[in-house]
Order: sequence, then C-alpha cells, then structure tokens
Amino acid sequence: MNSRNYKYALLLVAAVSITATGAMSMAYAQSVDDGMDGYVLGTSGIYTGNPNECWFDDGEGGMLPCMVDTGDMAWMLTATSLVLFMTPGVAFFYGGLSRSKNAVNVIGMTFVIIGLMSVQWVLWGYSLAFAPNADEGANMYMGSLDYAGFNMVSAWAPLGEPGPCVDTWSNAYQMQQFKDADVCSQGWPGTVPHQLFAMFQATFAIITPALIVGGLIDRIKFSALIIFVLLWGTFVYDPIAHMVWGGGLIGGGSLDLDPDLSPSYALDFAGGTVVHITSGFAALAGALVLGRRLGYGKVPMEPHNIPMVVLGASILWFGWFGFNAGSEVMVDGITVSAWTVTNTATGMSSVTWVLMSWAHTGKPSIVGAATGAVAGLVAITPASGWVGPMASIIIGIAAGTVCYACIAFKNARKWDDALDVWGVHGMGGLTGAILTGTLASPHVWDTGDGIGAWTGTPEGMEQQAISIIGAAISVGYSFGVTIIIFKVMDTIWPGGIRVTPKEEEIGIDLAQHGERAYVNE
Amino acid sequence: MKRIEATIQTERVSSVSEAIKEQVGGFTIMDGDGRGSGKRHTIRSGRGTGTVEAEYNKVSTVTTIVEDDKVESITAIIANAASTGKSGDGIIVVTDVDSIMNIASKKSGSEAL
Repeated sequence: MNSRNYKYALLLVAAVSITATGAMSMAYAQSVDDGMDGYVLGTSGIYTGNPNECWFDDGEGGMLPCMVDTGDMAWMLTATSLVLFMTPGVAFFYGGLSRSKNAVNVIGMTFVIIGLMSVQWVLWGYSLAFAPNADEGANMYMGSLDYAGFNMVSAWAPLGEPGPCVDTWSNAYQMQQFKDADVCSQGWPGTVPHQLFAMFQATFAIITPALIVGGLIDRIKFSALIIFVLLWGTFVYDPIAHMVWGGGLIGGGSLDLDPDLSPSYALDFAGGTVVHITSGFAALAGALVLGRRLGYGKVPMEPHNIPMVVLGASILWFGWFGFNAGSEVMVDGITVSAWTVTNTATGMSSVTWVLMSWAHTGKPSIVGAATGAVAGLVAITPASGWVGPMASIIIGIAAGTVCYACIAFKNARKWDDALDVWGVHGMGGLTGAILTGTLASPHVWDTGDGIGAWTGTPEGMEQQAISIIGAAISVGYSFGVTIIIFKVMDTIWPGGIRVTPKEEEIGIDLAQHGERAYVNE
Repeated sequence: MKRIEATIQTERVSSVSEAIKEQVGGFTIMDGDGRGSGKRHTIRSGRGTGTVEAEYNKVSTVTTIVEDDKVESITAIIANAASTGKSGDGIIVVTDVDSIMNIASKKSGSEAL
C-alpha cells in the first residue's frame, strides 16, 4: 500500500508546482513596464509591450494593435477547433483498436492529455516553443520563458513588424483593398492575433502526446502517464517545435548547406516532423522500455470495436483539414491547395492499404482502410503546402505501402508498439518529410518557393538533402530523449511504471480506474 | 423426463428453432464461445497485414425438457436441423431430470412442460 501513497504524493507535487509556476508568471506579467500596469488611455490597456508583436503609436500616447483580417480569424478559430476535435478522434480510433477490458483507459488517457497539455501550453509550453531566445546559441534548441503564462501574447495584435497595409502580401490578391494609412504586420502570421496563433499551436501540442498513447496502452500506470506527458511535452515537443517553427536549428536556416542556392530550411508545412516523427519514435521507445503485453503473440488481441475505429479515423480525416489547411494561418491559395492535397493523398492511401491487404491476405481489411487513411494524412502533413495534386497521389501510394510494410516488419520483430504509432505516424511522417523534399513544387506558391528534387535542379537536390537531415535530427532527438525519460521514470517510480501482471490480466479499466466500458446490468 | 442440451453453431439456431418450436413446450438458448474438432475462423491481425486463427467459435446451447418417449424424435430433428455434414456441427447431450416446476402455475411433472 505504500506505493499507492507515493503515487498521490507525486501527483500532489506536480499539482503544486504547476500552480506555483502559474502564480509566478502571473506576477511576472504584471511587472512588465509597458504591460497592464502601464495603461493610460484608450485602447492602450491591451498593450502588451511585446516588441515582436505589431503595435503602433496613435500619436496621442496610446498604442494600437495593427489591422487584422476578420476572414482569416474566422477560419483560424474554426481550424483550431477542428484540430482540437482530432484528439477525441484519436481516442476513439485507439479505443476501438484496444481490447474491451482496456477501452476506458485508452480513451481516458487520450482525453486527460487534452486537459494536461492545454494547461502546460499556456503556462510554459508555448513560451519554450515559440518565444524568441536572445541567446543565438540557445535559440537553436529552445525558446525563452518570455511568454510564460501567455504573458505578452496579445489577443488583439498580430506578430510581425508594423508597416503600410498596402505593402503586405495578402493585399496583393484580396478583393477589398486596404487604405493607404492603415498599419499592418509585415510578417507571418500577420493577419490574425498572436494569441489565436498560439492557441492553434496548442492543439498540435495536445494531439502529439495523445498519439504516443497507442504504444503504451494495456500496461502503463495512469499516474506515470500523467507525469510522462508533462515531461515529454516540455523536453521533446517544445524543443522540436522551436527547432522547426520557432526559428531554431531545423527551420531557422542553420541547415543551409549551400548559401548560394535558395533552399535554406527543411520544409515542414503542418508538422510531419514536429508531430508525427516525434510521436511515432517516442511510442516505439516507450513500447521497448515497457516490454510486451502479457500474452503478446499467443492470444489474438483483436480490435474490440471496428465501427469505433472507423468513426475515429473519420473524425481524424475531418479534423485534419484544420491541421493542414489551417497551417497557412490565413486564407489564400495555399490554404485551398493544402485542403485539396490532404484529401487526395488520404483517399489514395486508404485505397492502397485495402488493395494491399486484399492481395496479401485474401480479404480486404476495413481496419486497414481506416489505418491507411491515417497513414495518408500523416504523410501529406509536411507536404501539404508544398506539393500539387498529382504529387499528393504519389505520396498517398507511398504512405500506404511504406506503413503497411513497416507494420508487417514490426510484427515480425515482435515489437509491441500496440497500436502501431511507430509504423503509421513515425514512418509515415518520415516518408512524408523525405518526399516533401522530393516533390515540393515551385508552382504552388506565388513566390516560387519550394523547389523539390524532382525539378532536377541543384536547388532541388539541396532541398532534398536538408529535408533528410531535418527528419533525421528529429528521429534521433525524439527517440533518444524519450528513452531517457522512460528509463529514469521507471527507475525512480515506486514499483516501476508498468502495472502488475495481475492488474494487466484483470484489465486496466477495472484495475486502475474501477470503471468498465460495457456494463450489462 | 429428460433434458436435451444441443450445443450447435450459433448460425444454425434459427433453423433448429424453426424445426422444434411446435414439438416442445419451450426451450432456452444460451450463446457462448467454444472449441472442438471444427475449423475455427480466420481473423485479421496487424491492421490487415496478417491473419490469425480465432481462439473460439461462436456456439449456442439449446436446452429443452421432454417426455421420455419424445427424446429420440426430438434429438433426430435437432441433429437434422443443425447438421452441415462437417466436423464442428456440435454435440447433443441427454440427461435425466429429477423434477421440474412451472413457476407461474406451480405445477410439476409433465403438466409443467
């Protein structure tokens, strides 16, 4: 019974430290000179004093936020909600694939992660991922704590330097033209408020640890999962997000192999590297540290509810339009193109998987159709803003075949990554990241960005090389750091992070939660 | 009086029911899992990348109680209705019944059937 008391103690420590961090950042927010306490008149009460945001002086001592686009904001609020809805989709996808005695736990772990990461993101996650770090060297890997507690994250002003609206990129193609005197952000994302961008990113930080759950189910203690998610979010997701999107090592230009050629960073439109490669390889690391489930390979362990699996995959497909098309963080031709290729690649991948299972084992598998759809969504994610519709069909076929082969390989090796997070997300993400470097097309962006290897140009070859290096860095970082987190936790956790064999036999639902998925009484 | 317990493939329940419902006072069907000499189903594993043999087949036990003189005809009807000619069709068990009572009418013996 002692170990049980330890568990409560650890939860209590976590709760206290989270509350303390929040309280401290609240205090910090109110100490900023030009912040809440510095307001004098008019709208300047909303002034955050963040030099990275777009504010201008109205000439009477008040600071006003730059113009924002209400259409873009409407789309981004929708896209943010769509991506958030993907995590319950993951819960039902995984819940249906699990055995009925563990279904509540699988859905529950995924659901609780929504809550955990929502709070972690506001307290320190967004800051570590996206706040610029004054130290150039540190900025390669990690952001600063300037935005802790959403301090200096305005719900009014966009990011970027202020400048004339008529000079902005979006002014070039919109029907309504700006007035000469209006002030707009000259950066990206510059048409929606900073806080909306931050919350859009929050939904990505929520779904990524939820994906890892698939590798850990049926055997991890619920208490261990909670602490793991907070550690993983902080030490794996936030640094990788900073490296790719926050101006760090992978996305910030440090991988520019030949400065004379135009490609200078790894292309990752919507997070193939940040979300899928990291979660896939983390799940494999977790599965290897935890060990196989009892009876693995001896009893069938069938999915207990295939309608639920297909429902979950459908919710993911629906939500993924927010994920990919929303990653443009405005509404323009790229948004439309991303929507198109997302749907096309997914359809192709799903059909590919059905045909492969049909040819390979004699019957078309519907669990395979759902899995193939997810594999296609994963692989098109990094490519979605960079490739055309025909290239997305190639990516769909590649995702279906590569992930299919990886799952067959994983089963042959007897790695018990129970719900194939590595095979679908890890390898699907890697396939997508590499193919983005191959198939990126300069005909998608009006700026001519995105020159893939298929063009046969030196630029294309450089882009391909950068994409491979960027993907390899996240594979190594995620796998390595996750192994360390799990090993350390398993050593210091009372009784280890795995449930007892008896609890595993009974099922995690009853053993850890005292609840059952299906009750007939 | 005898109790007839026929353990048959679940998909044959409706034809057995059709065949005996006019012949007996009533019967009870219980669904369950079982394995015997019959071939078990092949099910998918690994997201459609492989197949495994199911641990159990779906079986149902049809239980009815009849007078001694009807045992042979009822068993023959059940065997006929449940048969597909392959192993795994099931098995019929006949046992003695000490006493029975109809709960509503409180009658016992053959009047309870």
